[in-house]
Amino acid sequence: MTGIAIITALVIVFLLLSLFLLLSHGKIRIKPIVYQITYCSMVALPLMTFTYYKYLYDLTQYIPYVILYFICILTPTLGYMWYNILKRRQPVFHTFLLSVGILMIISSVFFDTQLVLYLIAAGFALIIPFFVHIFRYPYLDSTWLYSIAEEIAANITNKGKHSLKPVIIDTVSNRKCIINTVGIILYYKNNKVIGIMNRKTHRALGSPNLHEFFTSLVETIRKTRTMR
Amino acid sequence: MVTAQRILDTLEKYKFVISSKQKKGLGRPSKIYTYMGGEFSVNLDEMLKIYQSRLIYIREAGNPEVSFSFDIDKELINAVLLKGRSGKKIKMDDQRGRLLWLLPPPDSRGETIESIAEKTGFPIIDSVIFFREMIELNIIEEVK
Repeated sequence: MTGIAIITALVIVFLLLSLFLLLSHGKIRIKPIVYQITYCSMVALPLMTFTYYKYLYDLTQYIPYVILYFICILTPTLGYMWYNILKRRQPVFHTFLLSVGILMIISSVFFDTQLVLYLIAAGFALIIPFFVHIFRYPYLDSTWLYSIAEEIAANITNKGKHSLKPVIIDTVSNRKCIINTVGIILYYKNNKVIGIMNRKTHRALGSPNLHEFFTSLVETIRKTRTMR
Repeated sequence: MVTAQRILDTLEKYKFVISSKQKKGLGRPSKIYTYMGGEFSVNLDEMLKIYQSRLIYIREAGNPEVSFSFDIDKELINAVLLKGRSGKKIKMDDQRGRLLWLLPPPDSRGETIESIAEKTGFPIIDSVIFFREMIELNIIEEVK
């Protein structure tokens, strides 16, 4: 039983790494991947534990944990995404597909029949367009964005102080969206981008001049694919 | 448009009158004003001196002890926190918050007070006075 679990875990790790490599267009960085895996584990680990033990013990004794899991982990995770949608910062269609897909895969653990396979297959079918969307627009991928941020910071010779006040960069865009990576958030608004970087990331990137850094980052994203 | 309410508000700002709120029945509470009197003088030299400062280039100082509370959607700074969350909190009204929001980041070329004030529609003299206060608090700096 333990051997199967280890093999399953290794296969999952391999698939995840392949997915990261594909979505980031080959620009792998450890830091954002660690963050993303931790984030995914918070959703997946309780589920894995739950599915493993449900065959051994009475299911009802885990109901409080399931409720806690839904309240503390799943609702904030999906809730944050839907909050951004309500604020018109995230596309509705792909987030809807992702949310429904994840919920279908998660809910499959409650069934012991053939329905499980259908649910998982349907869930993955709904999730795949989300990944295709990220692959087409690589700046939506945290790993790609962090690697680009590192490259830009290395090219900036002017050092600068850090500030917690958002930096406003004028650009051509008529779409609202939010792009983020480890310690960096970019809010795209009408004809402007609002950039925020935390102190730790600023230090890790070698204290670049904030205005130059965000200007170059926005320009690189614009060249990758014009925000329309 | 000049209204009686606006004149009374301005007089109250300079403490020529004092208001007290009174609530009777339905509707908003009414204000009762008491005349206090006083003297009002204008130093034109000082005002011109302040007005000349409008062309100074300013930017954020990048003080590590200063943090900001802001609203991304409204695009304004709600408050400035000195020495972290445990320190002094300076609350900003919408217009001052907007002025601070448009402030260029540290180590940038900077922007003149006049151009920032024009973007917000805030009076230039009031903007200069406000930015001077912020310079004294080491929140922003002059570009030399």
